[in-house]
Amino acid sequence: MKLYKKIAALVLGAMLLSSCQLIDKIDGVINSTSSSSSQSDNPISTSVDLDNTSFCQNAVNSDTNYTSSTSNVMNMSTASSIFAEVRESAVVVNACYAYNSSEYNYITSGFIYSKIDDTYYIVTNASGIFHRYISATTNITENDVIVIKDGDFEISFDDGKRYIGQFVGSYDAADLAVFAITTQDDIKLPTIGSSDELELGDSVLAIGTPSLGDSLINSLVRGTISGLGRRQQISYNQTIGIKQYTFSVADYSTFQFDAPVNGGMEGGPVVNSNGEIVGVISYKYLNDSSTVAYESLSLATPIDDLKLPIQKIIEDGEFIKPTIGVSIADVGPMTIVQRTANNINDNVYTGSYIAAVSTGSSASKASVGVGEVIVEFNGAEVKGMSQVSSQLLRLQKGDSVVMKTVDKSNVSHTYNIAL
Amino acid sequence: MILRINSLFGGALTLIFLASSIPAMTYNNEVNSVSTDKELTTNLSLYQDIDNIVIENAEKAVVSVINYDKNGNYYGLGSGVIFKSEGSFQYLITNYHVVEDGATFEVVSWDMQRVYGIVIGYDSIQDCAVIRIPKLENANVAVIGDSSLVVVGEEVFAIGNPADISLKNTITRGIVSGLNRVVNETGTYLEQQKHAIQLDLAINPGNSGGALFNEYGELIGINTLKLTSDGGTAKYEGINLALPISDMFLAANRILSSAIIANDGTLLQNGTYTKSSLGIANFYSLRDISLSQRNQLNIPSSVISGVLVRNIYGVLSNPLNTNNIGEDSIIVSYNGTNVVDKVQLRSLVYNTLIGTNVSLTILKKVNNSYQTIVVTTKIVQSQY
Repeated sequence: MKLYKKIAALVLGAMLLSSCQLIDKIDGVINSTSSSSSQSDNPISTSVDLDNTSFCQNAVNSDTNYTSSTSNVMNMSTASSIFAEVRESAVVVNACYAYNSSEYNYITSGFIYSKIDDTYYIVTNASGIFHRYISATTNITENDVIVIKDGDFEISFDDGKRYIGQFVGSYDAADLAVFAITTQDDIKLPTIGSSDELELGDSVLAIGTPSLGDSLINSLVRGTISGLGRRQQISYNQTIGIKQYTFSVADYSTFQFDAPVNGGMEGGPVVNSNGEIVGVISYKYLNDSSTVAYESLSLATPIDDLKLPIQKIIEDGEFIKPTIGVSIADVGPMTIVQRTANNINDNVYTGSYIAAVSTGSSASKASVGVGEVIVEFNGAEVKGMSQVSSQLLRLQKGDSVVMKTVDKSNVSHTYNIAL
Repeated sequence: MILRINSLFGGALTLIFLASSIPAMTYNNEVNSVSTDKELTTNLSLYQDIDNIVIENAEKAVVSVINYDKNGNYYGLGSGVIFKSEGSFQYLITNYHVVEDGATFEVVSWDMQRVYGIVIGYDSIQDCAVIRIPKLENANVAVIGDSSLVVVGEEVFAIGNPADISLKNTITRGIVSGLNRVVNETGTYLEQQKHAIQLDLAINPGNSGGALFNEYGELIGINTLKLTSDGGTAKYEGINLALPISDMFLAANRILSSAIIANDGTLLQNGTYTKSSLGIANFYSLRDISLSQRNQLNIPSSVISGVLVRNIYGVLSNPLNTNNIGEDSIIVSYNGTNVVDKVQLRSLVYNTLIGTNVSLTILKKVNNSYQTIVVTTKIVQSQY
């Protein structure tokens, strides 16, 4: 399946979208594992082409090595067929606010996740929408409490439909917020996939609406899985109570991909090549200390980490992550000097070093040893805090979990921890 | 400092598309060179996943290089690629600018094993450095590809460590946007020009010295540069440059073979580099000369390829000078090979050993018209 796209020229605020959609070619590879979405076998020709650049045609015609064997049909979706599947579920979450007789509308992205009776639940990015809400609400200082007002949030779709969004709940440590709309309209539900099955080098698509708003609604971008299990720690400057909710520090796992993501797209879905939602756009690296702007270092929260929190928020209005009661420092980022100082065994390169165990905690009751390195948690190999965080989001208070460690002599220990 | 950006060679980057391919570089195949006899179909299948096995094998050859200053403070982060394994050591290729100004180097393998590395030597013009590390059992030696076979539109991926160590072994993907782009980070003499492969994949500060692989997982380049802006407010996006592995591998092997290492592995003398030079500085590909300039210079319309030499540096030392080649001469042939443009000429000179006599066919300007002469001149060591 060959795909060639040319996207976008933004000149003085005017959008010139030169979109030469898809040229499909068939080659000899059969991907027998992906079968869920429609096969678009024939070339889909150009749509609009505003700048007279017949880019796609040139690209294909001029490449003489471009062989077209007709024997095998690739069992793989195209970006456009996936987009067609997902776009109706993609939403814009609007924080609408009137201030000084002006109307403000700050946006972030999201998607329909599930439906119960006439209520559709929408997943979005907590810091994205609340920061915008907060900035719209103006002059917020630390410790101010913001109370969400009815009608402050609206959910809009790219077909122009717009609904009042009810805030259902949020979970800061995974940067997750859930909204709901209640309607008898029939809105398409997306297929929720599994992020645990992602592998390095997989192709993904992401859909979101950059902050310019409706003129860029549901922008589709393509990328590759660049990294898995990236630990993210985000602390917010403000402490803001929203209903019973307080922002503090988010520490969660993300996967990295190389599609260009821009402000406003956070909360939007990341979709695998089967058209299944596997992640929620989280944020991107902006620039290094010398102000070189980073390019396409984008991060998303894995959907498998959010399934239980979303379910609990829908059922109970909140999710409470269980704790094990250890202070952790990841081994991977330690310098050789730090490794020596912490007595890390020479054969241990990754894992989470237990710096302290809280008195009375679950870990303490299980007699977990300080100075050991967590290498497995709840059946998942632990490279660092990222994997521990991931697994904790799938557990609840009352569950028990198996944790494996190695000590400074590289001796293994297994603990059964009651959360 | 970790990723050189265009402000450091502002205005010097010329984007010339070279239609003909550069003659394949000959380099010492003793290490891990692999013949690329596969059919290189131009793979535009941009929505396939990259083969996991290819990625797994490729990423095991890529390391992060953390540079500490003489006080032991963190100075910067780059990437490197293992290109040789010998005895109890492995050797990394990276950019010189990754190790420049560093005192100690921590090398972090794909599986986060950390070892100290020592710089065996460097070639600042080719922006190449070689680091030696204790052999890592779980690491791979990169399969060296043939960068002369790279075509525009070919699917490629990069592995490196942008931003900080938490993004270790970041994989980014794209296509080759252009070939034989000329960059001169260090100066304007012919021997200071470098070829680069232009890419649309995302590379960022920290990716420097890291690997560019083709779709088969063969190392075809070392990611080195990105263009960040035109000096105005608009930021460039997706104009990234890798140095072809043929040039880097040649430089790395020159560094390695010139280093003096005792039997016990002690580095007695750093490897170094020599640059072959023709001694010309002010030169242009004929293809870049405008019609009005051609008229001014009275260049015959039949002459369309070659390198115009406006003047020659080093009045006494320049071998061309001793042959009385004045200004505005046009080099049209080098040792029997037709000279297409300056990129190709640089490559021909680069691959000629110092001290070798070469035969040049030159259109020499005499009384505002051109005469064909053949001169023999000696390739000298660059003063730069």
